[in-house]
Amino acid sequence: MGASSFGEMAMSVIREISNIGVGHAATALSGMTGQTFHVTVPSADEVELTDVPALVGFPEEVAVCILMPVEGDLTGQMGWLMPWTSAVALWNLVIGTAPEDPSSVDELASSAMLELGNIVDSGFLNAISDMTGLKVHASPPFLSIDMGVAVLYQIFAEAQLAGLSALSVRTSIQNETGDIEGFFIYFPTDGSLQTLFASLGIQEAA
Amino acid sequence: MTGSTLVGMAEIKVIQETGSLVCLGLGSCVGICALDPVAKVGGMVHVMLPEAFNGEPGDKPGKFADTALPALIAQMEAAGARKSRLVLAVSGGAQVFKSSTGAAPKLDVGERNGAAVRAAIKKQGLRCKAEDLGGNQGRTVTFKLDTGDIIVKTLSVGEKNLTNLRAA
Repeated sequence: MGASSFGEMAMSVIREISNIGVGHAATALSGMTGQTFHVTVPSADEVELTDVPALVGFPEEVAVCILMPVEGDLTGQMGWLMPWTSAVALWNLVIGTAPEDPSSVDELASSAMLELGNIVDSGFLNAISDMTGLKVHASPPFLSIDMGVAVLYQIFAEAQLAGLSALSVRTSIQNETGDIEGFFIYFPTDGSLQTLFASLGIQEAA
Repeated sequence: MTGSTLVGMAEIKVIQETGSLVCLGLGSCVGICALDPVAKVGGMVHVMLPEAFNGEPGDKPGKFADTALPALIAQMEAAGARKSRLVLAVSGGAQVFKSSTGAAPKLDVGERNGAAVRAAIKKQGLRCKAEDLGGNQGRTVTFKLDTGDIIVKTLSVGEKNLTNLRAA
């Protein structure tokens, strides 16, 4: 990964805020599933296109992704990606059953996954709101169940088309038994980063 | 299988004589495959966005539909191909996201990519033998230079032969 054009101070602030945000998201997820989730320290950097397949870790395997547009004072996109097996484990916990394969995901399973996304997303955004005093809210999420790399490529393409920052913030999440894992990726708009830094009284931002 | 070359996002790859080219997991992206059957030169480009926009550095022509095709042709010509002999096949441009109410209308980069690739091919006056654009599934596209086969793999269907660029 190349050197960041954002200052080091700005980057640590982004990491810290994401850490707290994902911590809240994990708590929300625990409330839904009765499982304890661990969160890694986020990495925040500018992602090169060539890094994308490696980012997913399971490029051609089936991934379940919930994409959540963020609106309000801060705008951007947040995605939550997990391998198929993790989604199955989550479905079993939340609705007591799971689709047999990716082509048999029905209405109930889809809405359950979108709802999980909503709850987790709100946990993340509320934490940021509380910290900064900014108004941020989630808008209805989108679901994708497809090859991991295809999903991530589309997220990147949409982000670039929307003029979002090349900066992405990634955090991994895992339950205690390790059968549920995944990661969050957040693309802020450039303007959002300025707003965020200003709300915290930080001058340094590229 | 001899020499399989991965074509990453925004990359252009050209091979000669033997081997295959692979675009792994095309979602909204479009893979353009081209063959000069006489010179035995094959090329593939992995297009990410419909067109270059202001401020975007021009060092990655493969990234945009409008710049990708001329760059692919130039690289293939440098390897001995002739533009007039090129036969093309395109695949990708899907919409892999949906909302609870159906399609995700705001996220339409796949559709725009497909339209831009079609327009670029028309502009160059090239012959596109097979087109597999749109839909809601990610695709892995393999172009086997030895046989001319274009194979598209999706999760629900598995592998299918889209076309053969060698056949008349």
